[in-house]
Amino acid sequence: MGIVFFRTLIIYVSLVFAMRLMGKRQLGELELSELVITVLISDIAAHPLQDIGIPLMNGVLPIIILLCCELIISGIIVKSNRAKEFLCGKPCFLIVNGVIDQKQMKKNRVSLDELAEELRGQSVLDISLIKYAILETDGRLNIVLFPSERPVTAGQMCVITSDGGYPAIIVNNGKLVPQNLLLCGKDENWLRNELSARNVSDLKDVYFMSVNDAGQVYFAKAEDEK
Amino acid sequence: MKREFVAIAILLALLALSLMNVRHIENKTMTLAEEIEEAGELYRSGDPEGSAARVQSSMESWLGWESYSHIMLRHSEIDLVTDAYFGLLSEIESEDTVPEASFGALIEKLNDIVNKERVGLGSLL
Repeated sequence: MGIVFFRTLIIYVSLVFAMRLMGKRQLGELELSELVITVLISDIAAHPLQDIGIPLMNGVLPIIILLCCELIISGIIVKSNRAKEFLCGKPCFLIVNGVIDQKQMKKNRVSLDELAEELRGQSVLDISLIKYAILETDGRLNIVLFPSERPVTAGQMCVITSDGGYPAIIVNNGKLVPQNLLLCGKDENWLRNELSARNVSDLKDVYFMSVNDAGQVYFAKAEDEK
Repeated sequence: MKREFVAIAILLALLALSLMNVRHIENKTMTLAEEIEEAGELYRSGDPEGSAARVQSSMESWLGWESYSHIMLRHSEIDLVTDAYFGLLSEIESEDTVPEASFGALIEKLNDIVNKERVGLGSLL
């Protein structure tokens, strides 16, 4: 059992390290090559954990090799559009000017039910309202409505809106985030005053506190633990 | 491009290390197989004690290589060879006649290890 314990730790650390180096995209939408590598890594890593007769090297070495391949391929994709097209494919227009492109639907093996499901997911029920529906290389369907059907913006209405700016977290679960306090141009005196105005004397009693560029404070008191 | 070059360098280094590992396993198993062949010849020439001593020293060399082999080889293959060594040694030390196949079987198991590690069309596919 000791071997399994340490092997699991080693594989876990290797995987986390490898996924970290591959970048945040691995955590969200995956391109084809990224999906292949993610599936492969998870499968390869499991074998030496389940069977201690297999050397750990048989799990670690493929992870390193796949990580290197991914770094090389993603580097090539960034540099070359042709390589990106070859490895990841091209975005396809499934709907243009409210008309379904049946050829593209067949080519991408998208059924009408799947298309309707995707559209419902984006709160669009009428295909004739859609200017473009684009099937992206990572499998997402992006929809662009006709200009007449798009939501009206404040700019179009000539309404002046106020922007409070980005809210910086000052206190996170009872802990001060000093770099954000400095970033907002505030100091600990200001924080003390804000807390005393809310009848709080200890940071531990604060669950969440943020302040935006306009100086608006969002405050959430910590609930009593019982 | 720095990251890509580092990745290429690591891949090449791993390839070189893998080939060196195969060469090392090849050399080691070849030496061990030669020792077993010599032990067989000694046995055939009527020197069972000399044969047993040769098998014993070869087995010690094999067991001394365990820390490396356990990292690089499947443990089931290592166990097969270790069992074959103990089996052959006990056969030689017993009064019964040792069949020629017993020496051959151990040599075959040693060759199997390197055959599985060697990079070739057969092992790849």
